[in-house]
Amino acid sequence: MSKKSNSVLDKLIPLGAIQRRNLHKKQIEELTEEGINAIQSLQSLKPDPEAYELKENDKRTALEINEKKKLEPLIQVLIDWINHELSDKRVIVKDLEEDLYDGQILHMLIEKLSGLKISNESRLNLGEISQKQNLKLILNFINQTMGIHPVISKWKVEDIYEKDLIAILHLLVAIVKYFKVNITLPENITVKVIIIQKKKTLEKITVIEKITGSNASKDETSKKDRDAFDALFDHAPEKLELVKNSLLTFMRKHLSKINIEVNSLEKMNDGVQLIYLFGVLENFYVPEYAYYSNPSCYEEKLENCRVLFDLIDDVNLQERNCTPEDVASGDLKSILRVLYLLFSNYKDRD
Amino acid sequence: MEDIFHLIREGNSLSFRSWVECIDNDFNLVDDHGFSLLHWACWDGHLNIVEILVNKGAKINSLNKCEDTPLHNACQNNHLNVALYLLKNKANINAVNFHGNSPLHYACHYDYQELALNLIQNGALLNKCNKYNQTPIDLCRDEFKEVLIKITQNLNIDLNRIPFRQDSSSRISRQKSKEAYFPTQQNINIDELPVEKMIATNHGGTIWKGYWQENEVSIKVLKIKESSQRIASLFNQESKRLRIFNAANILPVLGTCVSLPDLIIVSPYMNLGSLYSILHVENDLDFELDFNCLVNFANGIARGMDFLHNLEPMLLNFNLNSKHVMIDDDLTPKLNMSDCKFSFSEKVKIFNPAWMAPETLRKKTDDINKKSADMWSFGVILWELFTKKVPFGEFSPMQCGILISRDGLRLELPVNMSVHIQKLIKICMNEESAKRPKFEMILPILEKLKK
Repeated sequence: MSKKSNSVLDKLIPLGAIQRRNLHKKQIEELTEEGINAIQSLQSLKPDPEAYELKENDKRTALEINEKKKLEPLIQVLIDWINHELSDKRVIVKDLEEDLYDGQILHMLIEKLSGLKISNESRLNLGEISQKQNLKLILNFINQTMGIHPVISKWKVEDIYEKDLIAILHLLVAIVKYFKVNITLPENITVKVIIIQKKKTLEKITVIEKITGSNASKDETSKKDRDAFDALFDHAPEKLELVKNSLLTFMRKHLSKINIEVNSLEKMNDGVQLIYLFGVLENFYVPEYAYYSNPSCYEEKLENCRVLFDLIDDVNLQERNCTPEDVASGDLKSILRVLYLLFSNYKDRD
Repeated sequence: MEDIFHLIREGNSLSFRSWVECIDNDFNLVDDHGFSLLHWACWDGHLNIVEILVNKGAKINSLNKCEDTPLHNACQNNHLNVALYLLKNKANINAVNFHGNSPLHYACHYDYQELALNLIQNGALLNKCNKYNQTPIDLCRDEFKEVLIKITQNLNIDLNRIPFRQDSSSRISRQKSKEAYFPTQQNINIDELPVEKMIATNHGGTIWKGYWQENEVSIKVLKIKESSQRIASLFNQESKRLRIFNAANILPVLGTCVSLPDLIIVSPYMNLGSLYSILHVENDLDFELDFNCLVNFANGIARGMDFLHNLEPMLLNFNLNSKHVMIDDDLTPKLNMSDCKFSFSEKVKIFNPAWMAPETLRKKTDDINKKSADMWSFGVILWELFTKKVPFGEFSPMQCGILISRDGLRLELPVNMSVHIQKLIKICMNEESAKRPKFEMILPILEKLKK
């Protein structure tokens, strides 16, 4: 009995020594600090979701001059698609803003795509109140179908009704992605949007709205929100290494306790090391039968990531911005998101 | 309930035996006068029933409303064989009742001479006064008094009167029978559960102290991921098996309460808390954790495990560790059934890997021999009892689990530990699970260790 435990001590001591050599506590803190700063400086690039929750009269959005041109190819693809989709209904859409705001076209479109009937009393709603109610009903239905929470959806009833082009585009692009419509949307369209808020004086903010992502990386636009990591990858690749390093340091600090060597973030897509990390942070052990300790294929890695996400969901950290599939497929941004979530909640742990 | 007291008084040991094997029958039951089953069996002198009760672990020094122990009752009715059996099983020979009378007072008063002589041989005091300032000798008839005085002179027994003292008794003798729990039905109405204070909160749930039918109870509100009607019915169904009243070393679930989304388990309140807290947390205990006391803990735990292993079907969802063992006021250890896992409980997280056998950290419960795994856990408890240290206390659960299952981390036996205990721990913690003993095999060893 005693022989074996000696062998553990043998292993622990050299590791501790490496830790001491390489990662003095102060050094860790410095690295960590830099990482946080890098992340936080990017938060400001993120469109503030709270702005969307203000009452309608407090806010106006507008495209910056010349920005609409960028959108024209996208708008044309969408109009052609809707007209094709609804050709049997004798409907012709000419202008997205003018034709979609009251919800009637959306109603027909979504019934066609989902194959479901939405019940409402009449399709001829002339008054503003009943038009809005109808629109709300349809948007709720769409949100529910696509599993998007109304609070974070980028298409509010008021915005659509106010003929806000950006909101309408977000909605249509999300529908195209969700129903896997076989059309090719122009890639990587971003526009500068001016938001004018009335807070005693008029305040003007310019934000960058990403309307479509690249077609290669799937689901980019249907993702709930742009976050600091989107910004990091798009606008500050030079800071990426810094962030990666401080997250790696955090991970090494905890996994060295269980004799696990951490080499690269990219290899964490198998979920194993992340499960260890979370167990160390939350003070429990995960038995080996609960996951694949040596996953050999995508399915096994995905299963591990699902276990990890279930564990994380149990403790009510803030909303995570990626799925088990994202992590298992090896998407670095998603791996960073998970790690950062753990880092920001447990960085004070020894 | 009336029936069982009749069975006892008739001395129907056959029917009584089948009654006591039924898990929801509590053999510490008392009647309106605080007489337990053991009191009545002693009163009527049914030695075979007394034996069954004592073997099951009935409280041997429990008190009825006059503060008589079963030994008092046996002596009041001149049942010498029963009295001797009780004495062999650690009955308190000088226990005094409400009047300050010891069993010997009664033997002398009723002139049961043979009984009195036997009591004196076993250490009963002839010079102890009752409330009315009478010693047993004062109560004897004259002829017998002379006999006794002669004997005492020969044996050099001190006859200086010991005055009556209020409340001179030790913890062990002060076991007034609690009002019996009458667990006729499992479901408890939440309105009947006044809560006093929160005791603890952990991964399994939140535990409150409260009252039910005027008894102190602990109320555990389970922490579960989701609750639904389906889970509630699983909960009701599975907790039925945890209402075990017929084993001294099992702390039963008294009842359950479903008040969605909360699932609640009610069990008897244990003032002293868990074995873990007695060993590692509390430091102002009013009793000594000496060798005998520790062996008694180990013995009781082993008896409890043996009971669980012999249930049909076996109870698989109890994980043995010192946090799941509660200590009763009379220092009886009890396995806490409210810590059992349910089919819907969290399975991926293990919070106490230090007590678990290496194979359980790797494989599913279905794929291992749970009895052997429990024996490993018992080995860890033995180590914990006799070192008074937290096993692998310096490691976090994740470290513990990985180091035990992969790197062969094991407990070290300190050199100053009793050789017998060391041997026993080694047997329990055999690396090959099939070679570990069964609890029924180590019970005699533990009995021998008691001095």
